Amino acid sequence: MSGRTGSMIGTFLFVLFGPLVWAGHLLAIYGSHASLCEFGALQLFGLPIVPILLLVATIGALALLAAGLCWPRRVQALLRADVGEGEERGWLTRLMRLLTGLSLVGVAYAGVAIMLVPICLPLR
Amino acid sequence: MSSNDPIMPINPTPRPEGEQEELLRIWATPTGWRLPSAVNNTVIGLFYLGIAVLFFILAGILALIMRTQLVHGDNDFVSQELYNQLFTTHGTTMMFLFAVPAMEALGVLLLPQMLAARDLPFPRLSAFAIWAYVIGGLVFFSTILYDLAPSGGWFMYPPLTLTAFSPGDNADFWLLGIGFIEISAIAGAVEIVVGVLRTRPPGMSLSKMPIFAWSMLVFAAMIIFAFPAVILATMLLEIERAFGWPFFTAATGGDPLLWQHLFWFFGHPEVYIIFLPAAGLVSMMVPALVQTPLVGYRLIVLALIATGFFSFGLWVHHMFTTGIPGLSLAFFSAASMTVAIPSGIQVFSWIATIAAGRRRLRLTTPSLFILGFLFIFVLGGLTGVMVAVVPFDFQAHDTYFVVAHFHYVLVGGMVFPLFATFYFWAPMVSSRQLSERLGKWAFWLMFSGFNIAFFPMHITGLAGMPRRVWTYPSSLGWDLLNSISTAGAFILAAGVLVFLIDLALNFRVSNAGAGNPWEGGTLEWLPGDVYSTRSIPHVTTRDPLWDQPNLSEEVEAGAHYLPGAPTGGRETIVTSAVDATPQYVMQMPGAGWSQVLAAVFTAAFFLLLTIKLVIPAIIGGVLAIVFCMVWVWQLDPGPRKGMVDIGAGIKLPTYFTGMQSHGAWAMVVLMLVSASLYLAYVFSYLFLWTVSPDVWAPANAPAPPPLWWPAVSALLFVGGAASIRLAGRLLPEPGRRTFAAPLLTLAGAAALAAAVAWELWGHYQTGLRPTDSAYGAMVYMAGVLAGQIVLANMLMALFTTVRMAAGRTDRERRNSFDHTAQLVYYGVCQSLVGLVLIHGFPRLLG
Repeated sequence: MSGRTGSMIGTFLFVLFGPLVWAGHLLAIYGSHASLCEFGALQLFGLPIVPILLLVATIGALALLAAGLCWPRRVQALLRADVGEGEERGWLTRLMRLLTGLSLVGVAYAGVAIMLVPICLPLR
Repeated sequence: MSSNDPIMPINPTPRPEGEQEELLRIWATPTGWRLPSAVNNTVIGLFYLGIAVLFFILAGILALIMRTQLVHGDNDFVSQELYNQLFTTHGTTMMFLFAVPAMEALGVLLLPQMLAARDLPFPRLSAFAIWAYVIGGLVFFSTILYDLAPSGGWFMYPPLTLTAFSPGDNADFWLLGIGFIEISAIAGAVEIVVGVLRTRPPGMSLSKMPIFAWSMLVFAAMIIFAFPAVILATMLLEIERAFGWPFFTAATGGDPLLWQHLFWFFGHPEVYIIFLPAAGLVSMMVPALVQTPLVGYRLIVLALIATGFFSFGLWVHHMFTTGIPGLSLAFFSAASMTVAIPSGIQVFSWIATIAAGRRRLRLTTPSLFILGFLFIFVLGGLTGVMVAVVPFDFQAHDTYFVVAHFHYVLVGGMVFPLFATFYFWAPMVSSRQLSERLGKWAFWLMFSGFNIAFFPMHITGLAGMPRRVWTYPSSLGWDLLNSISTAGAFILAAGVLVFLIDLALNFRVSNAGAGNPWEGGTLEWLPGDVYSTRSIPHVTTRDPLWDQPNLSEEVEAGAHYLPGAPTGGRETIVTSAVDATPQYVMQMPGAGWSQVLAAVFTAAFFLLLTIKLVIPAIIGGVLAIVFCMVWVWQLDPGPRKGMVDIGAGIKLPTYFTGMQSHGAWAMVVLMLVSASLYLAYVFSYLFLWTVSPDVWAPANAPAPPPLWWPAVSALLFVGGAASIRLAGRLLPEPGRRTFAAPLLTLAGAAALAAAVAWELWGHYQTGLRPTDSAYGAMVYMAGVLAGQIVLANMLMALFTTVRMAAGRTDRERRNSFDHTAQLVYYGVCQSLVGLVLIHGFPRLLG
């Protein structure tokens, strides 16, 4: 039997680190944007709250993803993920990095829209 | 032991006399009238697949009737109401009764062979899921014959499907029938997750897993997270139809768009749920056909996971025209574009594998269907990118352009790979290959028929023809395009007919199969029999039959793991999830009737409820529970078989408890399903609040009960969990009985029931009623969901208590108890979250 510590749930969270950040980002920007527009809560202390919130969420998500790309071992340790040994560890880490990279593209793609599309305007 | 250790010798050969005969006896399939009691994956997998194909044919016949109706304008071949029932039943059958079940069937049939496991880990659960699907599916489909079929479209949008606009039982057949079949799909998903992660052969680490296993893992995970949303939606709609709780009625604070959010949170991933296993099959066939390992294995795994995951962020792209702010649409448009990247990776990988092939791709029937798939699916993908562009979607929404698009995606992405699969893997379960000549006829008829039928629909749609219209005026100029589409549909049907003829002429079920005609490199091509493979191989590469010389002979001679049946019953090796190190030998149940009867009575419960025969439905439900208990009574065998030798000097336990047991993993998967359903509920609560804050407490509804009221509920919940925990510590030693553990178990379950009753009574006392408003309905729905889990907790606690009384559960033989405790802890956590939401949120507002 394997003597390694670390859990399989940790392994899932480690491999899916990027997509999970992407999902959190989508949930945060869609949820906050749709709700604030619904209630017409567009200003806070005279500042346009919606774009600020969306940009902060996007920059935060991008930073988190970049950190995951640069320091996967730390993410793995944090999540107590069982990633096997030797070749298996390298394989899973590269898979995690690829998924994180793709998620970064997804977050950036959604983030660009914030600067291009009117904030609460229905398009039709 | 690690996967890099030397693998030979594992077991001395020749093997003792009678060993193989014992395997044959233990794994024998019942015959004659006892055949339905069979649980062997090859038997029930083939049956499952056969029924799925039957539904494909039946739904295809409905399509032909529809195409006949549309052949020219102003036609009255069928009535408008029948046409509405036809397209609803066609879509529902194709999606719920053919596509998903066909893929699950292939999982049941192929996975144990690809993993060289003797069977999937819960054979009776598979059989239960299949029988439930067969009975529920046949009853649902037959409604079209009695004018009882639903007519609200396969997505059943309210308000059209509310009682006011859809009286009668038609919509209820969809809601209860499909809800029930989804439960069967979830049962299959539990089986697949645990099977893929825990029953791989020693050495087959995650990085060496066949791509089909990866795709089925993603498929099952998607079912686990996507299906609960639509199960909740069907519950809400059925409750509104039956009891008037206004979740979707705008006048009392509900919103029909809630249905769309919940439905498409399931419905969009559903497309990928269907496509990804098919892509996995293509990734298995292409390397074998060109005798070359798959190019970009890791990238394909990445693509499967990414496509599966990102598909959950696309649901709003079905709702672009519902008035959601433009920026929100842009987020989902971006996600729709992002998902195109992993889909593209797979296509390029297949092309690269074909290009790099050691052998030129011969135009066999499977190759033709794969090439047809590539052509059609890529076109469907391109129009998918078009409809992901918001302004284009505004124009094309609900037109025949969309009908063309999704048929290109679904038929191209799933049906063509499925037919390739039939021709490729038939020799694994049939003593004869299917005919190449008839196969090519079938392909060309299907390929040309499909494109003749569906390509013109792009133009018909751009010319303005809306979906789901019964007929159209001849003066609009759509006649010619529709006539061409109808001709194509009949050519496509002729192709399917040729395939059926081929099947009748050449398919002959055989446990030994017809060898390895494609010279495949994966384990399903090992020689085998009713017990799967003679011994379970030690795997060191992704294509073991290509890279491990003599593997077939060694496995057949019994030189690898578990060549006999050391426990004297059905068993397979359980390995660790990441690197597939052997952990224990799992004892498995054999043929039996309890799971069949449980499925029959579960189906009876749902179907009798649909036609409002409440008392017979309750009797059916009780009988279903009784047979479930009979079924699980025979499980949890305990450690009496001790340690057994599986070869290479490895001795493994035959019983395992704790979080590493396969049963505990299944419970975790079940909890994920429950949690997904509950999250969908929390979303629904908050969504309806954003839509109608005016009906919410405390402003316009009775304020929630005082805080000490939910505090009492919380104490009862926590007390119930503590009682179960204590019972676990006081379980008796083997061979002894105590009163403390059973009493504490029952007390714990009673406390949970009291907590739910107290909570509901509290709201009732305030004067709030579920029919008052969407707020009231949501408050009581939290109680319904908590009650559901607690009912399961109570039944399991009762079952465990009886086992303790019978001396079948003790400190060592404790899986039944531990699984009960797991679900209790989960139920308590979910209920506490519910209390915080229901009692905290209105106070936050007030």
